[in-house]
Amino acid sequence: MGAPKFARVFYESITRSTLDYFSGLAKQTLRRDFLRIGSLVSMGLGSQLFTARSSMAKTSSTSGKARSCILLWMDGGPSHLETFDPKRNVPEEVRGPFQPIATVVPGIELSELLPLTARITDKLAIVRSMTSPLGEHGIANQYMLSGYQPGSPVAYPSIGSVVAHRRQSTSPLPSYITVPDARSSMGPGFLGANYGPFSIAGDPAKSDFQVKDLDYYPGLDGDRLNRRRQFLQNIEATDRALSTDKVTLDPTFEQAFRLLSTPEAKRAFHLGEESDATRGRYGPRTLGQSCLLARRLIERGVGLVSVLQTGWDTHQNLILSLRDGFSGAKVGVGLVPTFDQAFSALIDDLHQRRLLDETLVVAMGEFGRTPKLNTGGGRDHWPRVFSVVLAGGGVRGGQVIGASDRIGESPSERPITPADLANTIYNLLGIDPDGELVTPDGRPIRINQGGQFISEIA
Amino acid sequence: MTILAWLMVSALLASEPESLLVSEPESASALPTMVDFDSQIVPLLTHAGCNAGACHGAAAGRGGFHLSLFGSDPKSDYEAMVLFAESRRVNLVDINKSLVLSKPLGLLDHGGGEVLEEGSSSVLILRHWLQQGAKRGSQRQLRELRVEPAESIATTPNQTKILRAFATFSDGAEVDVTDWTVFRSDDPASVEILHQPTRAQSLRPGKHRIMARFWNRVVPVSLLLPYDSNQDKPQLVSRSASFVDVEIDSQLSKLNLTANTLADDETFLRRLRLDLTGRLPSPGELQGFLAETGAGKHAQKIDALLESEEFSSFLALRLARWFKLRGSPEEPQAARAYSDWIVRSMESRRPYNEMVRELLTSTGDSHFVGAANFTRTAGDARQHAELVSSVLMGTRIQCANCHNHPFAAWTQDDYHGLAAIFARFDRSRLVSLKKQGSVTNVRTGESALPRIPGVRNLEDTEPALDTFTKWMLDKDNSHFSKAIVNRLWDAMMGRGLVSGIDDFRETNPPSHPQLLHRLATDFVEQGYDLRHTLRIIATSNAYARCSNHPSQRNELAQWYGASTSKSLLPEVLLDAIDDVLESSGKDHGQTRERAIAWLDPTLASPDLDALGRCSRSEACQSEGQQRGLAAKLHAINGDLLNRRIADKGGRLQSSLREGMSPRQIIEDFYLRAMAKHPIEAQRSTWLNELNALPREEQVSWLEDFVWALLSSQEFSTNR
Repeated sequence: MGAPKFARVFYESITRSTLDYFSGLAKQTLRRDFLRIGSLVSMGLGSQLFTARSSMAKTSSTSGKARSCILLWMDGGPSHLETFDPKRNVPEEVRGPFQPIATVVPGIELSELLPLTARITDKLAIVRSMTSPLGEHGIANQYMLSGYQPGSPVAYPSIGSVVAHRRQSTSPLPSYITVPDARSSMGPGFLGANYGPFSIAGDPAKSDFQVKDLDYYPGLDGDRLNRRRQFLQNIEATDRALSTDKVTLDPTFEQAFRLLSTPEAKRAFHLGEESDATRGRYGPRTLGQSCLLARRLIERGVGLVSVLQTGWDTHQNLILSLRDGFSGAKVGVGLVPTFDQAFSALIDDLHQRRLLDETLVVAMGEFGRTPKLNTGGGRDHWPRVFSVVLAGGGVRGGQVIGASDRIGESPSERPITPADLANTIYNLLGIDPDGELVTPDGRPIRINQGGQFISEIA
Repeated sequence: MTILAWLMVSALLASEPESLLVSEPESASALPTMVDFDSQIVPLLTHAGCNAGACHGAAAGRGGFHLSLFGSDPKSDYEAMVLFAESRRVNLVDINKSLVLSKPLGLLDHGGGEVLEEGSSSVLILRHWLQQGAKRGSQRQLRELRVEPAESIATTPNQTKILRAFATFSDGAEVDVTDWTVFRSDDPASVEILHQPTRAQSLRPGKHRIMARFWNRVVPVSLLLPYDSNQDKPQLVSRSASFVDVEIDSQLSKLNLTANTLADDETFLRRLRLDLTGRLPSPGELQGFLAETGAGKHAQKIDALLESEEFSSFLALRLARWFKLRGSPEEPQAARAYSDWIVRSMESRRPYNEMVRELLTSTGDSHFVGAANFTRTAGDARQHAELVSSVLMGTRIQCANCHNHPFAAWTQDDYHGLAAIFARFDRSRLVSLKKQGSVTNVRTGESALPRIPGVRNLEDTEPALDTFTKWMLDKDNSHFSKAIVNRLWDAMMGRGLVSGIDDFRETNPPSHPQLLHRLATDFVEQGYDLRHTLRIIATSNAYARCSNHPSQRNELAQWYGASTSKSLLPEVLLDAIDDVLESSGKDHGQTRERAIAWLDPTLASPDLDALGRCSRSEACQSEGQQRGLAAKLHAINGDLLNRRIADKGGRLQSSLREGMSPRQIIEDFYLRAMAKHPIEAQRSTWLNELNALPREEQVSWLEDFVWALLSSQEFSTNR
């Protein structure tokens, strides 16, 4: 190509237009910034020390002492009646196919499908009076996971994204991780992709499990990675040469480079480092190994790990879906036994490692299920009352908060909204729910609106 | 005061709103009028929140007491309040023992708490109604709700605007219902609602929205506070005086915002090329465009691109996305036939209304009749109704499955009536209309009557599908034309005039109502020609402006005073990467087919997945570069870029083999990726670094340079 003349045309037209665009004053800034590009200092990547949990800085004045949170998301809406709010002395069509059993806490009963959880109930705060008006998955998800009812023009961030935003972590690991996958309502909303969850996008229960793209592409090494980072910064700097802002790389790219150059951080994903006994306790299925991975991640300073268990939208046949898992199962491997093993192992393990006090564990879904069985032997959506469970992170265990009425249809005392729950989670994590976030167009939005701290929980 | 006026006026059926102002205190003793249940008691329940979805308006009621959501069904509300529960809810002997009073007053235990206050006008009206025997009354309906002023401009932040709401009923009466209207600010940080009298105060500059709800109707109110005028006012260059710019500029001037100048030709060409053809301009094309000097060269370029095959192919992808085309692995032929039909329709310039007629009515073997696959996109009649309303009318009707839509005019009868129109479709491979087919209206428990939503029920004798199709495609049906021009606007400008291309509703009004109207009317007048509307948009000044600089207000772009940066669609980005790298390492098919030709998102492509392709099975608001850390890790360590950059047959490696100098390579890649040359300061930075390296290290250096170019923000956005 006829480079020189062609190039000059380009250069002139660019310069002209950029100078049209701003006043003459910009000319000086322009020149100065171009000089700066020439002298960009390479930032040593490898020099950043891996710093574990201790580096998590508290950023608010609330009294919460939890450093991290593991959120077990029971996707689809778990039946409160077959889990944490079983009923006695009610017609069978209400009680369902299973019976209540006693737990280690006198007076608190759980479904017979939760025998292992019944042994650790002294560590749980069971909220039985959650209530919400939203009975459709998408919007109910958003309400539970953000504390904000959807419908306004603002796309509210999920709790995990707020945690990522509020915690100025220096860990090379992302502050908000979803295992194995995220739901769309676990997104960052107006906070932007930088605060979105990192999905490990693999099944931790598989023997060949590994997180994609953590190892160098053949031919790449730390030096080249460093150079790529510097080049990218050069290009972005030119792109914004007229800006008076300090030129920085896209924080998500920055995070990626940091993670890749810190082998110790990448080890968090190596479940093979755990003993067989430990892996066995959590159970062989995806949920159990996901919970185990979640523990390894919070040990290394991740702010919030969301563990996904799908399939709770049990419109049909509770015996099959909740207990058995497949027809003719000798040992139940349905939703509840799988949950029971993973959840109780997680709480036990955190307790034994003295991590429970600083780790808030929350198990919840978007709503409960109808008090009466439907004709298919299942239950349909029921947001008016349902249960969530919290443990650790300063939560006082062995208690039930609120209650549903005799048949589990409505809250009979202490109704608690998703906004209240979000407020409580923020408080326990030491994040001020009254703190403000700012949308890209400059609107201040409170972290939590209209929620009340569930004060008896701590 | 107003309460008395209202009681009086509603009985006298006065039609002059001014007569409300004559209410006199002494008329209190007289109270000659009957309280009307439908138009007074029900709105009062809405005002107090009793019939909201969270309370008794829930589908199953609350505490055994069920009201229709926002009072959409006064008959059943009357029954629930007066007749059911052994009439315990009203006690005509001792009215204070009526549950409808004692509960909301908090005298008896009430889950919702004390929602009414003794002595309030609501309680006064309730008492009167009970004293008068709790009669149903006129059964008049609400015809119109109007707020004055519907749009107002404040001049200072502290200024407040008094708001008044007027209802027109089916008997012709027009009544001031301000006191029974709930005014809610969309964003309390922007507008505050104050009371006595009801007024709005804007707290920050911008155009803000307030929702006014009376009875079962919601209308939006807008309040505008201009920005400070401390900006420079550069000389504006204009290439267009179309109605688009008239409307945009008038709104900008109301807001006291100054638009950016027009972008330079390099930026304009890259933007236009990507928007119309999903493809980067080649260096030769760019050079030619810059060399031209005629005043009409921009319009000529637009025309030329609109006539190109590449344009048809890319618009086909946009339509496939809008139609939610999605193949199934068992029947690849069906998706192929559908894709082919869309592409052919684009190439042969079929008017959009004719395309939609086929989508709505086609039957036959869906492996050959492409358009018949639209019907198959829906699993059943209800999904079909949702698909039609979302794709063709830009409306989410699904809320109305279970209850009348709380934020739009749709009722359950509309929803199930629309579904009934599609109930006879057999959605198997051979799409056909069965003799029979119905859906149940969950409100009545009976077969739904086929109904054009918001308009009328169809007669038994009418062919439902044909009648509906005729209504849909009628030139006066602005739902249809507005939905599509809004999609086109969104595609070109980065945001719809109605924000959310399938979210038309009264409570989500367009930013420029008049512009939307004119675009829609023009589209119909010009024979439903998609190219025509795209040309109108592309030739406007609004389209051609410089994009927002980081130091500028976001609001400027929001009002189209600056261009909005758009993330490239995953398909476009992948093609752009392949064009720059000229690599053969594609993962889809043996042919060098472009990714934008893949209309079916279920076709396997790890590259497109890595770029965040939308499966179209759920709403994908955040398609594109929204995948955060995983996408960045993949960019660094994944196949997507690394494999292509290292490709022996690709542009970088062949350029090196052909002996191009590093300087030429840098120049060439820059030009291809960004459609411009690097600025001089940068060029010398690159060259100085490169020249300091031993020759054998220059290859990996250039690989890293190309990697950085293609990983940059600038490359992956259209701005």
